[in-house]
Amino acid sequence: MIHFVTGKGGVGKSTVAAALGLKLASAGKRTLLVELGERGYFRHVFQGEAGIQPFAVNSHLSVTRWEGEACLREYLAYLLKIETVVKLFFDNKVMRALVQAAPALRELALLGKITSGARRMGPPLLYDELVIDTYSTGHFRALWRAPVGLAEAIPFGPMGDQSRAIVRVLKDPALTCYHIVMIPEELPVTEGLELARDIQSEMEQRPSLILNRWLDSPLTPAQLAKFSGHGFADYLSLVLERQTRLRATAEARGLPLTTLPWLFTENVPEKVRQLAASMSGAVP
Amino acid sequence: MIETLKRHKVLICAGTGGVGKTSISASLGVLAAGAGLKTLVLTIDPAQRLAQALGIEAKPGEDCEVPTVPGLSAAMIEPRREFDKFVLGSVDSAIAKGLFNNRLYQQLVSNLNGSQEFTSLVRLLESVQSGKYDLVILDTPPTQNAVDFLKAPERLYALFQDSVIGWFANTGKNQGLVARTLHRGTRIVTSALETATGSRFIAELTDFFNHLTHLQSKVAAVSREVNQLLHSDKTGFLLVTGFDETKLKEALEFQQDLEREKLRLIGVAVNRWVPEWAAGESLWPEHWDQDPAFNQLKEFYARFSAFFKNRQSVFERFQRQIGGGVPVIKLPDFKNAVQGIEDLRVVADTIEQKWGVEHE
Repeated sequence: MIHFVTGKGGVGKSTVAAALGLKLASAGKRTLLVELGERGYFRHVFQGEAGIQPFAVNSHLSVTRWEGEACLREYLAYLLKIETVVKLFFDNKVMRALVQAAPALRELALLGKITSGARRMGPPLLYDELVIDTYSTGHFRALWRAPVGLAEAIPFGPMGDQSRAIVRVLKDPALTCYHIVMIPEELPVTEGLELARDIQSEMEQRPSLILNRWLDSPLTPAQLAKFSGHGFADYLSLVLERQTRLRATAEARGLPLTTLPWLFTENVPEKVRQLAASMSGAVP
Repeated sequence: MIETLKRHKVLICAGTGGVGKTSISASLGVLAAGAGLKTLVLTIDPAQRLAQALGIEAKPGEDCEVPTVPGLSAAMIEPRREFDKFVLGSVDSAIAKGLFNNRLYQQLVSNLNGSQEFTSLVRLLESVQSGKYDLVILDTPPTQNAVDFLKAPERLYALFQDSVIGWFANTGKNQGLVARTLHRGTRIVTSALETATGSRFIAELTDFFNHLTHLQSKVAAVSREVNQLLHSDKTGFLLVTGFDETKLKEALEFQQDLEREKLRLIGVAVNRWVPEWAAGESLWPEHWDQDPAFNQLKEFYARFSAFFKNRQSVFERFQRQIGGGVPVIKLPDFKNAVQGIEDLRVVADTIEQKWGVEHE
């Protein structure tokens, strides 16, 4: 199963992805946690630098960092089988510029790698679950729209065929699922729900919604109202009102919804452990 | 802050997504306009209510005067539109039309990887050159990390280089790319590309570059001018960041990257530092102390306070690392989402007050 974890910037996407990875691994699944891009975040979580070669955190969880160029290189090596040709290709100035900026090429390389197990294409990936800490909402749309656009633009040839195969995997609920992380604030919920709508209409899939940073208050709103005028009580009332209202808005979509607690720690590895523990059975 | 704004013609607010860059950019616009500067705020994808408040919702892409803030204008940058406008302004309409019809061009402009950064910078240049404004504030596109903004245009410019275009552009000869290449090493590389992508893709690519040749000189000129503008002593970068150990680490990396590129960091705004209430406890009536619920509230408050106090030590470490030369201001987590002009004024006043005179 491929899990894409996305959401507006600043909602704790990466910590939620890491926690999901940890949870799946502790349930006995061979799990690969994947981050995309050139600078890693998980090195702060798991004390180890992950590149395209995975780094094992424990017997079931490995972490890796994939970026477009390395994925393309691996794909070409698989396709061409001659290392000197691959080297010549990537040493070439023109190809470098093309790989860096040519429309859709990097996106395709990344998605190609992510879906390679499901398509039985490229070097085998020996994992049951892939958790992808993917881009925030806008860039995530651009990511899946790349193969969709190319599949339409290039009616035949390897590029078109690959794109179509990738799109098939992304649309298959037995192979791929989407998790949208939100926090109970206006913008993250609005943006998250807009993305959910697009995933439903364009990918024909039902994403799961994760409401992160949910505050469990020992006092009810009615109790808090008694202490109106006290700065902290007023703050809590505001937070509780907002999270209840936004949760109702999210629930109205009829999509699976999970809440994850607000944690009183800034220690990232600790945060991930606590989040994973609170996921017990909750996240599909 | 006002003095700093007066010394600049361009202010670029950079940072990752979700840290409040847009509202800080708009607030700085309100502050500058209030100090008598003709100011333009260029934003990308603002929240709907903020766009309404700024009066830009109805006319995306255009400079609009902000109602109720004299001297302030705002514009919402739409990459697709800016790119098309750039093309139309650079080549004749037949070539522009050919490019608009190319599938890869369509991918390029709708794909966020680099095109948003490129169009923002083109728009920034155009706004500065118009001479209509004393100050232009650019809210940069959301990136995975702050540094991406600096790197993205470079990647895109690379596509427009002589060697790249020369390789793919096919001047009229109806031959395949592989057949045209004479050099053996080059032939190996092109046939590798063809194996991986197919001849149909190469044909699209060739068509794409054939059109791009016409844009080349304009792109070269614009990138030179943008580069000059970014390095001008009237241009400054403000890093907007959230509070999180990893975000602060990233801020340090951003500072180093700016230094390497010889760009000027004028300050760091750590946004949503702690909620407004955390400033201190207020007094309460004595009889509340008898209420068990109130004691629960106090316990909960203690937990919150300890959590936020811990932030202070993390922050102090950050401040030592970033050095004394760069002002760092902490902004509170405002009670409500920043949506209206009044909210912007509150943020603007807070920035002005925190920045203080010592940083001017």
